[in-house]
Amino acid sequence: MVEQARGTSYTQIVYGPGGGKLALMNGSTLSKAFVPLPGGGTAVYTSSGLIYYRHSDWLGNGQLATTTTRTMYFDAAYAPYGESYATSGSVDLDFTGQKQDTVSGLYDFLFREYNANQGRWPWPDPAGMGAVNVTNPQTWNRYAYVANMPLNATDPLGLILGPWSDVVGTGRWSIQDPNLDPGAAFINSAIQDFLVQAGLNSPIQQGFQAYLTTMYGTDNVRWGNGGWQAYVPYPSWTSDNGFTIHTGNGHWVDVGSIGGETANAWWGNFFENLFSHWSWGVKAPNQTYRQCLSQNSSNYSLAGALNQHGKGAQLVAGNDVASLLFGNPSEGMAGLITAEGASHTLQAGAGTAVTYGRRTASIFNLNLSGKTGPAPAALGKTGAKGIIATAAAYKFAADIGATIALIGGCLTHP
Amino acid sequence: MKDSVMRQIKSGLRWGGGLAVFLIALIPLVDGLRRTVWAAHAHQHVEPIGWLELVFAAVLFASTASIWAYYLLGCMVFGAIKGIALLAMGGGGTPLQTAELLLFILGTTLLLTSVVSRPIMLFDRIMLTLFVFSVGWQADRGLFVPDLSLFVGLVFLFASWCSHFWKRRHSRVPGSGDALLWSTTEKRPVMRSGKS
Repeated sequence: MVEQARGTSYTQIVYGPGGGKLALMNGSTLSKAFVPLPGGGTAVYTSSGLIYYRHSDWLGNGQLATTTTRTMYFDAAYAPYGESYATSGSVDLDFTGQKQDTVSGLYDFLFREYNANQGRWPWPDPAGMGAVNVTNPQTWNRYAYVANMPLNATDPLGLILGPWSDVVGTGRWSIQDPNLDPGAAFINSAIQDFLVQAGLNSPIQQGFQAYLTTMYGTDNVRWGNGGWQAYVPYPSWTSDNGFTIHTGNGHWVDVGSIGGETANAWWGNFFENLFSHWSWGVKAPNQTYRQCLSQNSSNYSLAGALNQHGKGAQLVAGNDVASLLFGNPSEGMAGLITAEGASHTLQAGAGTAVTYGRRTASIFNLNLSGKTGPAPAALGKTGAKGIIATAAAYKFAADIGATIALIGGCLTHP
Repeated sequence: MKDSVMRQIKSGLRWGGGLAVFLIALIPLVDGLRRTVWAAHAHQHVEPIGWLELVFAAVLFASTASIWAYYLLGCMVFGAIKGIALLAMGGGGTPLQTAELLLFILGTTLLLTSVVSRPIMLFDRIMLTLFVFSVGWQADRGLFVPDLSLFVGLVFLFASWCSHFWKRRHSRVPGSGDALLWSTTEKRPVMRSGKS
């Protein structure tokens, strides 16, 4: 909570655990409360009760507000840098999810004030020279707002540039790009370090995990790479001002108390991923053995080692054995095919193959050229023989090995 | 220890070793691409040492191509089965994207089967290595995402097949209808009747 004094008027600003502004109080009297709604909307309350619903655009700008009786409360439009125009009604401006609760004309970002009329920060990025990337001239000006890309980037904290909107409060994703805002990468790294040092089973970690699972869904949060990670279903790439911003095809990113991605993590540093994904002790706190197996079934594979979770990678380089055995059954057949890289339609044949695979002799020589063995048993039903069966057996053997590593990894906590 | 057991252990070590080398070779490949090609994609500074890593990776890939090609083929076989099911059942992207991916997988399966079904020569090793490089070329934007570089990879495999086809045609003894072929069982060239 922060208290603001203006003359004899005092206002207490109440923040949520994630840093989002929850309410303005005057002593024990509620002045205004903001309740985030799905889809980026906000329900605004005063001491009289619910006043209006605020509807936001893709950047989080409050363009329209309506009352509970379905009438307009206010209507506003925003220029790219936040200047409002064409306003009507009882205007309560909200630029990228930030309000003007302290001084009129200045939006209260968590760490800095923003002047929409000037289109810049009144003071520089507190990361100092750490906020400057020499290869990106737009970052050389530490007063500049979102590297002068206001139409496809927001800065939810006043520190971090994100091509997507705020995580905090709105439930939308934020991703930092170290090429665009290296200071943000540093800050996020510091937060991650703090969370790691807090210890995996500490109350702060368990509280944070609960917070993340509420925000992202249980299956989309995991412990890995020395911190918490969330699964981001980004559809594609975007490009702006000659800079390419990777938005992925669905992949895990490191998340702190803010959303973000560590430098170059999406490039899939093979070594790093191999040891972060394929390691002993991947079972997260409060996670059952079965949940651990299910959540990591696609990591223990060639695709997982390369930190690739897209459809193509899972189809070709996923761990079919682990997915068949431990994949999330709630996803059903189509889900298993599309996301986990496996299919129940293969289960009969694969089950036989796995049984064969347990035989030491079969693992050693795979019976590759013979008529028996894992793959011939599994694929004989499909009519595939010879070289195809040999190759399939080889893939199966590799998947079985990775699955054994997965089981070992889930037997222990990190 | 029985001979059969020793043979099994040697076989297992050979296949396991081949896969291990493949995985190890991926390290300089990924790191080399990151320092060079992917850095260029992201408008970042290209580090020349990355090219050295790529050369090292290429040597590792080429030297063990005859083993890991089977693993790659196995991946493609299962990818093809799942891809067909995916196309039939829908989900996970547009049908066109799935069809493109499936086309690539099926093409690769076909050509890889052709490559590994005969003795793998130096040219084949080089083409297989180039195929892996093509797959990795745009992997910073996602592995096995339908892209031109993937289909360039198919061209390399096709070149390997063409080379084999060309050799077979030109090894025919004129007028006899016979062909000089490499025997996988006898490990040497043998004459095969073209009439059979």
